[in-house]
Amino acid sequence: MAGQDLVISTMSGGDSDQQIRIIDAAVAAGVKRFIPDEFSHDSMNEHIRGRIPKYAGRAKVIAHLQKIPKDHPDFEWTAIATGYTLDTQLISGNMGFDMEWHSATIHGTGTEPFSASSLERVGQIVVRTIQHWDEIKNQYIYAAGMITSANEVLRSAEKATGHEFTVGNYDVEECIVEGQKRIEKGFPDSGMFLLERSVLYDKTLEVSKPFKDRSANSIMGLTPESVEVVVSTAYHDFKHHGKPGCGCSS
Amino acid sequence: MAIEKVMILGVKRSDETTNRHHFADKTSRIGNYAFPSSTPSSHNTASLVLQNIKSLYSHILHKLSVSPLMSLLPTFSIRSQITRRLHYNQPWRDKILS
Repeated sequence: MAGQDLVISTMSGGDSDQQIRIIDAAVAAGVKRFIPDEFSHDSMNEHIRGRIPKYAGRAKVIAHLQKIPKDHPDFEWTAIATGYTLDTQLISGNMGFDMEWHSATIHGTGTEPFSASSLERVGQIVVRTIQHWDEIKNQYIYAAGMITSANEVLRSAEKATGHEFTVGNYDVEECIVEGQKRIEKGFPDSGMFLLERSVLYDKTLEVSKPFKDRSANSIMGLTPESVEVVVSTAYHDFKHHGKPGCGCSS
Repeated sequence: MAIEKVMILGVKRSDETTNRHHFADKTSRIGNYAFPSSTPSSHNTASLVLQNIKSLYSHILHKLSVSPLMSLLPTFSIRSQITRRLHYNQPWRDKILS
C-alpha cells in the first residue's frame, strides 16, 4: 500500500477485525487517507447496530479510525453512508420485489421513508468525496441519492414493467424474526438481507433522519436521484443482462 | 496534497468461476489487487461487491490514476468458504509492508 494517496475498502464482509488490520497496515505503510467499507445503511444508528451484527462491526471500524489521528496526525479518513443500494437489491429480490413475476412483499405500510442510492450513485459519491476531501475528512458522512418509500418504488416498478404487482403486506416484526431465525440456523446471508430489509420499514429506527438533517450532498454538489429512473434502469438491466447488443450487459 | 494514487480493496469469491474471471479481468486491467472475503458471502453479496468495484472503477478511473498492479493475488490465494474465516496477521502485514 506504500505510495498510495488513498485506500478505499469495498470489502463488505462482516469481519471488522480484518478491516482494522488492513487499516493498521495502511497506516504503517504511510497511507494518508482511508475510506472504509460502508456504502449502505447508517452504522452510527445504534438500533441498526443492535439488530444487524455487520453494522456493529462497521461501527467498531469507525471507532478505530477516529482514534488513529491522535497518534498519526497526518492520517485522514471519511466514511460514507449511502443508504440502501436500491437497484441491486431490487433486482436480486432482497428487497422483496419480484421483477419477473410482478409481485412484492411489503412489511409495514410501505409509506415508511428510507434512504437509498443506485450503485452508480455510490461510485459518484466516492468520486465527489475525493474531490471534496478537505471539506468532509475525518467524518462519517451521509449521502444518499434519494429518500423514498416502498410504495414509491412499487409505483415505479409497475410503471417500468407495465404490470400491476401483487402485493403481500406483512409486519416488520415478522421480517426481523425470520431473519434472526435464519442466522441462528446457520444461514447468515439469507438472514442478513431480511434484517437489512426490515430497516426500510421500521419507523422506530428513524433511518432517513440523518440523511435529511446532515446530508453532505450539497457540499459535494450532488442532486437527488429519481426513483423512477433508478427503478426503470434496474429493470432494463435485469431484462438485458448477459444478452448481446446492449451496453448494459457487461 | 493532491490525491493521485488510489487503491481499491475488494472481495473475491472462491467458488464463483464467473465472478472470479470477471474480477480477475477487472483487477488485471485496472491494476489493483484484492483481498479475499473474510466471511461467507452469498452470490448476491458477491455480485453487489463486484458491481460496487466496477462502479467505483468506472467513475474513478476517468479522474484518477490508479496504482500499478501488485501481484499479491497468487500469494494470497483464495481459501475455501468452508474455512469461513481468514486470519491475516503479522506475516501478511510483513508481506504488504515489504
